[in-house]
Amino acid sequence: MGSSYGLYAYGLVGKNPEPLDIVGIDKKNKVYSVEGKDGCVMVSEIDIDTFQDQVKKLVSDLAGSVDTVQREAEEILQAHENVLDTLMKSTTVVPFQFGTILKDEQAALTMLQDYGEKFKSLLAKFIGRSEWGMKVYANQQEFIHYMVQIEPEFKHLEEKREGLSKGAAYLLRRKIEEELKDKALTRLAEVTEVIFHTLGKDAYEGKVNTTLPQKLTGKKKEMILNTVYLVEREKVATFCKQGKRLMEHYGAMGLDLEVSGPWPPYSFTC
Amino acid sequence: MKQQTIKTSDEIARKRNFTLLELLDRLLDKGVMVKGEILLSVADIDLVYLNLGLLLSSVKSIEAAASRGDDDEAKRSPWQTPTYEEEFLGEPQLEARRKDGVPIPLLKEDSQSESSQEEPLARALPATDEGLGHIFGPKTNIDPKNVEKGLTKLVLTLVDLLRKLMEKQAIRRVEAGQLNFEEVEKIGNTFLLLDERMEQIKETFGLKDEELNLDLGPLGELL
Repeated sequence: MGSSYGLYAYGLVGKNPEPLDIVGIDKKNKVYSVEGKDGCVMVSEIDIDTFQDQVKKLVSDLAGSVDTVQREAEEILQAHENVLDTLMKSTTVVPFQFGTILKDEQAALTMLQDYGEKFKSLLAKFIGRSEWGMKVYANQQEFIHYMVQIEPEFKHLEEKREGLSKGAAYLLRRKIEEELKDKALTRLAEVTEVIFHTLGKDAYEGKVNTTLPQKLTGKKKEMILNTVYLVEREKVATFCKQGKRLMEHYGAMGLDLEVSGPWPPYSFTC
Repeated sequence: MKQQTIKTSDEIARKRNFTLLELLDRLLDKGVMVKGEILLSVADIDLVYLNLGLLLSSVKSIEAAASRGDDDEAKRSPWQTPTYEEEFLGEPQLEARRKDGVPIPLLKEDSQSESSQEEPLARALPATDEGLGHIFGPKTNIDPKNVEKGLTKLVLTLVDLLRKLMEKQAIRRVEAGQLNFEEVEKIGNTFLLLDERMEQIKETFGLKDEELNLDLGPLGELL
């Protein structure tokens, strides 16, 4: 292997886990732990050149068109996630960012030392908890359409418009459109607020992440909310039930809600 | 294990097959980031982050800059700079460039005759474009048809902005009771006509409402 050898680091666990049988990101080498004083780094040997090729493929797919990303390139991300997923079933994990590659075991030990305090506090925070996400998508036009149907004041304006002559009716229509748009935006902002807090009731910690551009999501509707929660194991069921309730409630308004999890707590590592 | 049972018992959690989006959103953007000499640097990983960063932050402006007036924006990958492509992927970008830059002599006449049937506003545009196409054409390989569309887009965006501002003003005055019935009717009709005219032009040039906007970088979008 020579210069091409490296250690891919997945994350950190508190105690040395039971003998593991997890295949690493290269689908060949096994995941093992490098044990320090306060924790273990989970790593597997990789061939840097091969990994580099795979990442290149991912890059070109990412840069190309996101909706047509090849399964193959996606696999490398999935592989990273799978390792953490398996670990998460039996222990608490502090996940690393994709592509963390250490020089050797000595480097892993150095890292454990350098980041010792941070790792300890993160492990304490993550014990018995996992990350759950909620993404909300909406189409403004659709939402406006929905609002017109339920708001009597707009129906009334619409009726008034019908009685007017052509030119005046045009101006009134513009005015109504403008008002509807303002109102829809305010209403959507309120809705996201409500969703975030309602779900947050069953969570240990909640966070609002930046919404992702449509180019990346590939959805027809625009993302209006991207939240993550740290949820206690015992509360997962209630959390999900709440999520489902929200889905049904806001689905009727034309909003799409997507819950995902359990995840390693990627979003709570800082 | 315990978690496993909870997972299966719940309908929402049942999914667990992550979409690429969910993976990208987490693995590349979050998680503990280790720094320092203990790390091996893999140049391509920086590229992943670079690409993702571009996607997340400024998709629109990069896209606009890279595919100015380009018809098939979707097929191109705007944030791949030539340097990057040549260096890491070995795909010759030049070929692509030559492709969309091939001057098609007939196009100019075509578009002119097509738009000369248009109303005055539209007719004014190809003329300007002719000039630009002549100056820039051979040097930078800009397809005259794209320039024309780009200019139309720009002009319509500005006209639309003015229309919106004036309409707002008009509505305000109507509400303040400053205008009599005839005046309201006249103003309304004028705007109605302008609106119809703009629709026609948009249709002629194949422009959508969403396209009528200007990205002002850090200031956001014009409309």
